Amino acid sequence: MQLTKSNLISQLTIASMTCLGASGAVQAEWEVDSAMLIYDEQDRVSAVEPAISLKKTQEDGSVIGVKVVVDALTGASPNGATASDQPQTFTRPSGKGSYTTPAGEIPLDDTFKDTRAQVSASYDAPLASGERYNLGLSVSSEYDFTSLSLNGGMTHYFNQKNTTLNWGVSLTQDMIRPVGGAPIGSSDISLQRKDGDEQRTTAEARVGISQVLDKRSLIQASVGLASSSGYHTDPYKFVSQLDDNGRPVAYFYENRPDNRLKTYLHTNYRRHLSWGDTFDASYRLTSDDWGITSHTVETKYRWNWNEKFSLTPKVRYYQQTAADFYQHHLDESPEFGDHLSSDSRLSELSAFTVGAKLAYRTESGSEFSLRLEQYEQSSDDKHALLGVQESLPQSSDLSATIVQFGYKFTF
Amino acid sequence: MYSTLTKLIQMLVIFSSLIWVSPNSFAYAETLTLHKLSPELQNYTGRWIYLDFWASWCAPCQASFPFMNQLHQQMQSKNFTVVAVNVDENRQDADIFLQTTPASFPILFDAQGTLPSALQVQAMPTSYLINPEGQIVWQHQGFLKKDAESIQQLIQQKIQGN
Amino acid sequence: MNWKRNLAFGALLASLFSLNGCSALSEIGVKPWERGILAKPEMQENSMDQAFDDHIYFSKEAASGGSGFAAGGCGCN
Repeated sequence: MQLTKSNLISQLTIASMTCLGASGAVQAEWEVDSAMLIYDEQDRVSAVEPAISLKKTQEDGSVIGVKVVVDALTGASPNGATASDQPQTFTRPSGKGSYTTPAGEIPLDDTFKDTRAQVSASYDAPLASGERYNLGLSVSSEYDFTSLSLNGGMTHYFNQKNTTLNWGVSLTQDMIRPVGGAPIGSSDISLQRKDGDEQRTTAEARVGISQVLDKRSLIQASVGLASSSGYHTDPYKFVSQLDDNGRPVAYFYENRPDNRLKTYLHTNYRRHLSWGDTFDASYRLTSDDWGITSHTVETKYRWNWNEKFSLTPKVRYYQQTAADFYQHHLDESPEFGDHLSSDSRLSELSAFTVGAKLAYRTESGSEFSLRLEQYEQSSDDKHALLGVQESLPQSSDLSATIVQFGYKFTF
Repeated sequence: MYSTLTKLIQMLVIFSSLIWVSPNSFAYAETLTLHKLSPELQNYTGRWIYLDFWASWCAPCQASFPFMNQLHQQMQSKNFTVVAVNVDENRQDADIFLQTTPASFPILFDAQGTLPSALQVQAMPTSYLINPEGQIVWQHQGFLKKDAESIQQLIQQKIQGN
Repeated sequence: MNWKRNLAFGALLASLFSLNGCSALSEIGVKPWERGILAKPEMQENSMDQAFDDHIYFSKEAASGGSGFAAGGCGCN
């Protein structure tokens, strides 16, 4: 590159700053991100979830992080059984007491009360070669479930950090202690055949690449693989057996496979527009060996009103196919393989999320935010309607409101 | 489970092979004489210059300011100066930064990136030690507070060894 | 196990890797001192929102995983 005196003179200006003695030591600060999530399903589950995350960059360039999340859940959740033209009574999972679902309604188990606490810690540090490695640990506990997870990974930089390669592995151990014991899968619930506690182990690997395209945009893609083995069944879910008139004659415990292999591909494009707004679009494809394939598309547009206020509308669309062993109900002469579930989350479904986030950034760099979203999930399940079922609700469609308050600051 | 394991191993093999074939993009900027660089820098001809490239959006740069203030003040009497080149595209961003992070050393503003282009700066921040003859004798990429002392010692050695 | 699907993922994975070594790609990007916009907070992942979303959708949908990795940023050393 040739430099001439004239262009340098025009492009360089000089200013001599002479602030005496003001060494203004930059102290290592804690970056705090605190938030409160309120999730409310119409007539069903509500959750209140406060979370706080702390992060600090140390003198050696390493970053330590700690996060605590508490999750208080109340309300009712579908138990998997179909609606009937007569009231249905179910024994509670504990074996003590029962609940009755009125005629014409999808049965909901209202014993759902739970508090979960999760603590995680992370450490991310540079190596002499310029690469970074990270280690993490997470413990989560609720009354019938404890989970311990370890993860580690590395970040490699290429091409003046325009290309970043990340990879990571994690190992998770779950201990499941269903209330009243884990039921024997596919057994008639009236027999109350139950086992003790269960376990599940998940190993996961993922790799991602991100590429800076220009001063304003970047693109990233990641792929991952998760293999889990152990107990995957939801111990509180049943499958109805219906007679030719569509009335329940028996209920069976659901029974899921002991192994699951999931893969995913996630891509994301982000661009800062010349007028100051930011556009973000992502697509995710997942597939597992239970036969579930899903597509997720999400876009956000951050509208920067001024230096302080921004509004970010968001749209998300999700669609999945059903698990191979999903059955809405069983016929009078049931034909099912080793595995069985009528959990609507394993059925063919689609969902829409629409919402926006309002953020206010103070001069000191703190940020207040409010997020408001509406989640609408609807069943795409197609099954033959027997007798009275024709006039009964078939799917447990879901409608939820998400409200999130956030406050970010440093100290 | 066996096939899963095989797949995991395959992925790991691919990752690790990538790490080894990665190109080493680090390249030292060729030694340039001060005169070719900038007339402003000529104001410091005959002195040792600690030439630093920084931006308001670069956190390690901010962390290096107290170090550079100290370095400048302690070595000023030894025919030495720190000169920090700001590369922000908007001058305003730099001015706001300097209000909260004051500098006791001279600052040049190079919104066009002429100097970092000429020196082929590879990372932010990057600093060069330039001898009184206008030659780059040492350079350092990035800044970690824990390295401050060793950098200062190294600079003193270079100056004394000259 | 659906090998076709897994094969497709494998192919995608391979193409991602080959991109990395591709010489055309090494010309895409910006100089280290040109990352002012990429370093803005809105160009980074909001990990708090992402974690909440992951938790909600994990408990209501069959699919999970795939939250973004850190990208962009100031690229500072």
